[in-house]
Amino acid sequence: MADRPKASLLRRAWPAVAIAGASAALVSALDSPAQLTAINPPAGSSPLAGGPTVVTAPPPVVTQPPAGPVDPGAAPPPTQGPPTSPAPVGGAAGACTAAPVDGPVEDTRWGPVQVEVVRRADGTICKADAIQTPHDRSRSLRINQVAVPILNESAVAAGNANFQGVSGATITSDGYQQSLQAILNGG
Amino acid sequence: MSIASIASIASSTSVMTGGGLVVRRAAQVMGTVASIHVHAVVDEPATTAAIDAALAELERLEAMFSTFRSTSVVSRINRGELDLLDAPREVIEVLDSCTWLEHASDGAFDCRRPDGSLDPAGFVKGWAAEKAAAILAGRGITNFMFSVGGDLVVHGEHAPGRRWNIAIADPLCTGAAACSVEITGGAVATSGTSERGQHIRMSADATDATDATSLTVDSATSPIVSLTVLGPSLAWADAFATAAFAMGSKGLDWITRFDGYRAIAIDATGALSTSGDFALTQVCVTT
Repeated sequence: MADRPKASLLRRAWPAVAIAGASAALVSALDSPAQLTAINPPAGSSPLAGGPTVVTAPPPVVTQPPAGPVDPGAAPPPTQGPPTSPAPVGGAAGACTAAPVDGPVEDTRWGPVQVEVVRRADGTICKADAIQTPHDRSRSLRINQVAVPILNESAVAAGNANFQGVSGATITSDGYQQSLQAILNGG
Repeated sequence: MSIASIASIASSTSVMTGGGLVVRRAAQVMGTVASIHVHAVVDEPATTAAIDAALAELERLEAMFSTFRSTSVVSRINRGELDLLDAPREVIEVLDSCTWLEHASDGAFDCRRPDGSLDPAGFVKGWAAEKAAAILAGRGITNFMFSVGGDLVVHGEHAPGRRWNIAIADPLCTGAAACSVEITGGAVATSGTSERGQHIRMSADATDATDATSLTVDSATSPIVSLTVLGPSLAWADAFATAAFAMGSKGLDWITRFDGYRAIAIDATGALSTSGDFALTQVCVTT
């Protein structure tokens, strides 16, 4: 497990710390190295022994979410402009001028998605875009951004040898990848 | 040919460079692309095996946590088939971390859906990537970059005496770098507008600021569209980036309370700013 970073002010103010009772000890015991191999803590047995000190214990696991959560489906559109194609990725493998190939339409939780790609002469993909987008414009914006992180790395690798990696925002979209995978499988 | 070929020319490549043998692998996992680059490879078969093991770990954790899989532990908990406290310790660990961060972020970060069911995807990706990367390190791989969907951790150096140079993607210009950071070890994780609605509860401030209908491109009040966190742990860098981004203009200041973590924000005008007292040139170099 990653070391929990320090947040001393918050920890002091944190009411849950004051509990410092059986539930916190239980969690810390479950979290202790001695329990590494115990996939399922045995029901009925006490896991309290051997746990780390309660002072550093995390809060009880079960909490209720704060009131007023935002419905993900009701989120306003992202700030970026209208859907645009990711810029063609440069590189030494040839021009990105071939006719685009479309994948099948896939249903996602955001609505239908279809991917269009352009290949270079050597078969590598230089451009990918979500072309079939849901009726809701905000959703299409969101889906279109999936192409960004996937292309980022090849863009960086092809365009600037000074970088060994790239960090950027991403979302997950099974539909985008299914449509894309279908193109790749067919190609 | 697989989807991974987008991230690199083939899903797996080995090339000789000035810095020695480089093995790269890309694979589809957790609804995105994992990309592993090992530099100065000494033992190629052992490196390949280590990468296989790391990817298998990602797959194992995805099978445990994915809400898209009915057989996952999280899905079983959500259906009431498994009690939370009977869950594998890794699930407890993640939910424990989620709860801590929910408190620490004053609710900006949340691993539950509005109906109260579990959806820890916002924490799991970075956390799982860190665990998988630890497998590489545990097998003696010293120089590598491990990226899952643009959130990454590096170890060692990319060439003898050379630090890793990681670009921060320009959220306003696909394929371009807004700036770059040089690191010898640690994590770089970025959250942006594209993540909204999935597992980020936007603050009222941020929601207003990033509503396209009220968007004003003004360097003084412009909304943050991308927030990158640098720090020792990928799990926490990723989670902090998510939470800080959701906080809008308050996010950069919030990061300063965590020792060893720094942040870079990019607003809708493309302007960069950093957390705390770090000058931009100390953190991220514009090119």
